[in-house]
Amino acid sequence: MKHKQTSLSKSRHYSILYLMMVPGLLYLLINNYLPMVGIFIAFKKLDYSAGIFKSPWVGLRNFKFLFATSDIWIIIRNTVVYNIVFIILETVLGIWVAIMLADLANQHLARLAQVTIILPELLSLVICSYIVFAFLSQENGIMNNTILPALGLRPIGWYNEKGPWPVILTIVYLWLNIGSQAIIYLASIVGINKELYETADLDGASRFQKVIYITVPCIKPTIVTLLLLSVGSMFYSSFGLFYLIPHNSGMLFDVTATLDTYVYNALMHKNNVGMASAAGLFQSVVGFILVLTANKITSRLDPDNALF
Amino acid sequence: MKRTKKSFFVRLMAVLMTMVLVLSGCTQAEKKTDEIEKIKFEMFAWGEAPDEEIVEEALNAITREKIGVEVDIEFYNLNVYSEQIGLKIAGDEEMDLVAIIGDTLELANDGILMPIDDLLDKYGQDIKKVCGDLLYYCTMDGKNYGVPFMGNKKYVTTLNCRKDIIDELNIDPASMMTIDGMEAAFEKVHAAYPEMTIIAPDSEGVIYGYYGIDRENVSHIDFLGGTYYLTIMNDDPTVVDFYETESYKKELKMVQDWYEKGYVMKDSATTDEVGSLSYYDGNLFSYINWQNVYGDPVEPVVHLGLSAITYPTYSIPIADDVVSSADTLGVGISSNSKHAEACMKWLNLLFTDQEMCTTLGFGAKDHHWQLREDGLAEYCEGIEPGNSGWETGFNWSIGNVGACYVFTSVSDDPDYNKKQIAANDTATRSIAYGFCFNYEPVETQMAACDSVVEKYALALESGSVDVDTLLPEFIAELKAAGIDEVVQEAQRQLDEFLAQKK
Repeated sequence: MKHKQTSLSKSRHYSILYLMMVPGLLYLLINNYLPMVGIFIAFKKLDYSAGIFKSPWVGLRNFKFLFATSDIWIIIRNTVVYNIVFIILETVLGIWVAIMLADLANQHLARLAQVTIILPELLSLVICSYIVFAFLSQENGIMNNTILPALGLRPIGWYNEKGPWPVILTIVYLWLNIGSQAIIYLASIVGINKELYETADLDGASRFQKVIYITVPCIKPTIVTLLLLSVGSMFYSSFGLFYLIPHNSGMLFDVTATLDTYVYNALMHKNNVGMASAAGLFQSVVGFILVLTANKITSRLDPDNALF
Repeated sequence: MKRTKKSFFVRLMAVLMTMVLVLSGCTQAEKKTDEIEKIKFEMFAWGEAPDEEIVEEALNAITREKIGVEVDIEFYNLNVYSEQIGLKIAGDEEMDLVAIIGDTLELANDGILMPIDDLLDKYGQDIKKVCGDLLYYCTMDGKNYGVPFMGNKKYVTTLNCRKDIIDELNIDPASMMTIDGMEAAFEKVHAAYPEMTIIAPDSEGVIYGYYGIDRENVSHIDFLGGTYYLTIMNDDPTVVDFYETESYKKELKMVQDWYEKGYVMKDSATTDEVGSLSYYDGNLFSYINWQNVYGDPVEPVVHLGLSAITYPTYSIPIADDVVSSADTLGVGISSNSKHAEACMKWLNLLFTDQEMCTTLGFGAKDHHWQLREDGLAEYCEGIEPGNSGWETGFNWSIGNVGACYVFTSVSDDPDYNKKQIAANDTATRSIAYGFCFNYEPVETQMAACDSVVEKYALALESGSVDVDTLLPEFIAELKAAGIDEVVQEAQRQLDEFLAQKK
C-alpha cells in the first residue's frame, strides 16, 4: 500500500535520526564553536586582576612574536612541505600495500599482515619516541653501536645532525600511518567487481596493467576523499611526531620545528594566553584558506568529489 | 626538557629538605572579633598530607582566638603545584594566600598577585620587624608583591660527589674547589672507573651552564629573579646577556672538553631522564647544584641531604655563597582575594607565633610533635619523620623559620635557627635582591628569545656540539630576536630600582 508522505510525517519519520544527531551537534557546539568566542583574547593583554573583558586591547601586538624571528618562514616551510611529502607517500604506498594485501591468496597470512601493519598506529607517540631513541641513542643506540660499525661507518650524533631527520621523520610517519590508509584502500579494492580482472586476464593484461587500468580508476573516489581530508589539515602537524620523536632537540629545529612545536616552545615559559590565542588564530586562518583552495582545485578537476 | 624556572627551584628543594630551625618570637595577640574570616591557603610541599584536617584545626585553634581568622589549606605536592595554580588561575578561581616558588616573576607580571605594601604597613608590622631589609623581595615598579620566607637565604653552588670514591683514590676534597683541581679529580676517577659517568646534568639537562662558575672573574652572579639571560655579575649594576659573556663561553668549552673525554652522559641533551638520579644507582660520580648552606661553606662538608641516603656525599663549594634576587620563596596574596586583610593578619601571626609556625611545618602539637621541658621539640611516639601524616618535607618554606621550635633530631642548640638567620647578614648580598623584572614592555622579544634559547642552549651546555661554530650563531639569533632591547629595558628598571633603594 502506497501513500504520499507529507513533510510533517516525513520529519516525524526521521525524528529519531535527528535525535541521534543531538549529541554530536552538542559536542561540536561546545567543543568547536563555543571556544571561538575567546578569539578576541588574541587581541588583548590578559591581566588577571582586571579579568578577561576588562583587559586592555593591544591590537596585533600578540601576533608580533610569531614574526619576530625569520624562523617563521622555516617553520611554515617545514609544516607545509612535510605535509605534502607525507600525503603523497602515504597515498602511493597505502595503495601499493593495499594491492599487495588484496593479492595475497593465503587468507590467514593476509589477516596477519593487516594486523601487523596497523599495530604501530595503536602505539602512543611517547613509546614510539623511545623506540626511535633505542636506534639513535649515542650511548646505547643500535645504529651507532651495531649497524654503523658493521658497515664501517663512523657513529653519528643523531640528535645534533639535521641532515637525516627529514628522512627519519618521514619513515616514522609512514610506519605509523600506512596501516590505516592501506586498510581503507583495501576495503574499496575488495569491492571491485572480480569479473573486470577475469576479463583482463583473458585479454592477456599484465599485473601492472590491471592495477593501472582497473584498480586505480575504481578506487579514485576513495583517493580523492582521503586526499581532501589531509589537505585540510595541511597547516597542522602532529605535535607528537615533531616534538617527541626528535626529543625536542634544539639543534634539529631547522628541520623539525612546525607551527605547533614553535608555539609550544615559545609560550611554555610565560603562560601567555594572549600570544597563544594569537598563534592559534593565525594557524586556523591559514588552515581555512588552505581548505578552501584545495576544495576549489578539486571542484575544478572533479566536481563530484569536492566537499562543497 | 623544559627550561622552566619552576624546576630550577625544584632542584634546590630536594637538597633543602634537611633544614630545620628555631627561634622564639613574641606572640602578639590582637583583638578577637566576633566574625571569623575564612581564608584559603594554596600551599606546596614535598610530601603527602593525609592529616590535613588535624593540622588545619590545630592552626585554627590558635588563630581563631587571636585574630579571628580560619584557614583552609589547599595542599599540593611540589611536583604538581605550579600546574594546579595555573589551572586555578586559568579558571579564575578565587584564591587568598598563594605560596610562591620561583615564579613570582610571572605571577606578579600577570596581575595574579596584588601589591601588599599598604597591608604590610597596616597589619604586617611584625613581618617587617622580622624581615628587616630582606622584606622587599619581589619589587616590581616600586611595589612589593610578596613576603619572603625568612630563614637561611644563603645559596652556594656545590659539586656533590661520592665520598667513598674520593677517599679510595686519595683525592683531597678541598683541592676540588678550583676548576683545575676538579678536572684532575675527574681524570683520576675516570681512570679508575671508566664505566662510570663522571658528571651528570640536572633535571633540565644543565651540567654546568647556569651555575655560573668562572670563579676567577665572577664571584657571584644574579639571574635577576629567575630570567636566564639577564644577569648582573659581582656587584656591577650593568645588566648583561649571560650568553654573550666570556664566562659562559669558558664553561661551554670546559663541558665540551669533558664530553670528549667521556665524563658526560652522551645523551644528556635528549633524554628526559634526570641525570643526577643515576647517582642513587651508583653509576654517577658527581653532580652540581645550587643549594642552601648552613654555616660556613668554604670547606667541603659531608652532606646529609637526600643523596646521602645512598652514598655519603661531599658537597664541595665551587662558588661564593650569596643571597640573590633569584631566591623567590615566599608567599603572596591573590589579586582576586576578598580577604586580603585577614591574609596579612594571619601571616603576621605566623611570623611570630612559635606554635603556629611549628604546626604549619611539622603538624599538630601533641599529635605529631610535642614540646620538651627544655624548650626543644620532638616527634611524638609512633610518628616517623618522613611519614608523619603531615609531610611538608620542609617546614621552613613559608613564614619565619626563626619562630619555629628546634627539633631534637636536628640540633640540641635552642638558638640553632637564630644562627641560621643571622648568617644572612654575613653572606654576600646581591645588589639586585628584591628586583622583579616587569617584562611587559618587551614581551614579544622575550618570547622570541625564549625560542632561540630553546634551540641552542641545551645542546651547547651538554657539550655535544661544537662551541666555536654554534655559540656565535646562537648569539646572532638572540640579537635578531631582540635581546638587546630586553637587556636595555631590564637595565632601565634595575637603575630605577637601585635609585629607589637608596
